[in-house]
Amino acid sequence: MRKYFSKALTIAMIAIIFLLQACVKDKLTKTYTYFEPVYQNKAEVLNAVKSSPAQALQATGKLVMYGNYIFLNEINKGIHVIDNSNPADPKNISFINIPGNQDIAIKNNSLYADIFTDVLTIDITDLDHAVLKKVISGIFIDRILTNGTYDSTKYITSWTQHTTNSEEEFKRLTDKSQSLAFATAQPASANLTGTGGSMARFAIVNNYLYTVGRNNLTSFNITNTMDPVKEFNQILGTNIETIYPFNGQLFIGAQTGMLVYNLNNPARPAFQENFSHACFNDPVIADAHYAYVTLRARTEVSGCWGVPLVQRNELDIVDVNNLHQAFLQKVYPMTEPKGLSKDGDFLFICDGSAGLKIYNAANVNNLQLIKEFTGLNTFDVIAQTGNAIVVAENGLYQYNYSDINNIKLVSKINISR
Amino acid sequence: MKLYLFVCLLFCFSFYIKADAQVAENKNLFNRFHSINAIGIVNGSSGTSFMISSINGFNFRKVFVGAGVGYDNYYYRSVPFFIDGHYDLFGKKNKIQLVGNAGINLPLKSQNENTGNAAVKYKAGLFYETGFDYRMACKRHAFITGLSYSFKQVKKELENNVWNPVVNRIENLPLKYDYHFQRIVFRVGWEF
Repeated sequence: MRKYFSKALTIAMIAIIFLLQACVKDKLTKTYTYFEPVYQNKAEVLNAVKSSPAQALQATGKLVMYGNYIFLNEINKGIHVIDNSNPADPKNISFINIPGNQDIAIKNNSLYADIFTDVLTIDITDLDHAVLKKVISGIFIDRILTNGTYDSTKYITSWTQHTTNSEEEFKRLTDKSQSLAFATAQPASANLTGTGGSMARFAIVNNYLYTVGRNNLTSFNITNTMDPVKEFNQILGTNIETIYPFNGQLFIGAQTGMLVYNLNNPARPAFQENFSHACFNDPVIADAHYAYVTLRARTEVSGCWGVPLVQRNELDIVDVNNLHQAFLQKVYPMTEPKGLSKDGDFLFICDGSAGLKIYNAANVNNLQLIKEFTGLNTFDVIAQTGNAIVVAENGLYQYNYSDINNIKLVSKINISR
Repeated sequence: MKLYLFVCLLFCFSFYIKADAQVAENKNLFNRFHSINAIGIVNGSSGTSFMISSINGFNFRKVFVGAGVGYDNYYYRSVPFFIDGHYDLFGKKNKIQLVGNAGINLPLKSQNENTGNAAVKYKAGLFYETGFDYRMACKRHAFITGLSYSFKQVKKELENNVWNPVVNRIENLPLKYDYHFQRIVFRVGWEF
């Protein structure tokens, strides 16, 4: 009897588990973050582009040196104007409110700045009363952020971050195509042109302003600096990051390599060479013989085109004596290299969390480390006439290297947050 | 692999303890020691799988209290650690027992899941069961069959690198998954 009972019980139990299966359901709760755009009419936004009293720095972005002034972008907010007549005592004197701003360039008191998808020309003759002169629309098409529909009369002025739970497929209102951008604009030859760093997306060469978007290069004729005229737009490929003009060429840093465009016809830069490598971030600078490229494998990104990144953080020195036969001369390992600058034989490298490194680059095959400053997370640097201005995560640093054997920190403007 | 080994060792250890207990029959506490080792069919809305468990503890009149470890292969492979209790409801030699346990569920680090290039972390969650066992005495040992409701939780964080327009940089804003698996388990085992 017991035997039958146990068998019956077993069979019943097996039957029950299949019957009860209908009563139990597995559940999955997904928690995700999405961003909701806040729209504002273009007219309203443009009306707000003007000077205001100095504001404390809350974040650092790109910078341009213009005469005795530093124009320091605060990403998506605007530009801090800093009187740097005395590098030991820089004074934050005003703020130009430009929502969505990431890049700047300056020539003859005309400040060129991006505002989301558009390029502005601002008269900065009177720094206390910057005046918006012109808007050229639709330049940075990769920055058109939409929620399914695009309204050309509006800008997305801010974003609201939401974290939510759902049992459904999640949706994200983000533009993955937007690339990281901490950059500055590069100098041209004229004295009245602002000087920038290596991570720029804006560059001025003589009477032309060049801007790179994620995949395009646009040239503007700025013969009349207050009235730039868009002349030509060309597609370069994808993942363009920086532009650096030197010696009649544009060195364009892309995640896939370094592109060189000649300026024989400055209105229409023409492709000249491509020095390829893997998928990395790579600001470029150059001198008469070599291009210096910092490769940074972003640890937070899985790779471009879905290809996993191999961790490579290094300085590549490329021999460009013959651009048609450019070759990799030397590789130096780095920690997290970003912007760089060169003044004479001295090479300044922002090595991210490893700080600022200064090398004697007289012999590119044997760079000599002169000095390194640790404890700051550096983004970009402009070094000229014995003064190195360094943008770091926690502020703007200035180092005097007039005596290369005694490089000193002369001032720092802190981020207030 | 280490976890597999660990679970196997625990099973072996329970046999060893029981053997030791039989040697020391005169000692009451050891005499009360029991090891329940079972294998179960786990059935839920995500499919059918299996689990094994080893519960080792002591019997006090109608109550058995022990600590258990198992291997749960349902959806995400995991190792639950739990405190277990049995209460004799009916019968003397053959008994129907009310069974309950609760603890934590530790998912294995690697799972059969393709997440592309995104890094994934599996995190511990809750584990509990409640049901009935039928315990058929067989000399000094017992054959056990049981039916229970089983809950296991697995939390997962999937790397999600997206452009964060608020701070204007690419950030890892991980996708968080909280799985609640509700299953019916049919279990057979042997009590030493």
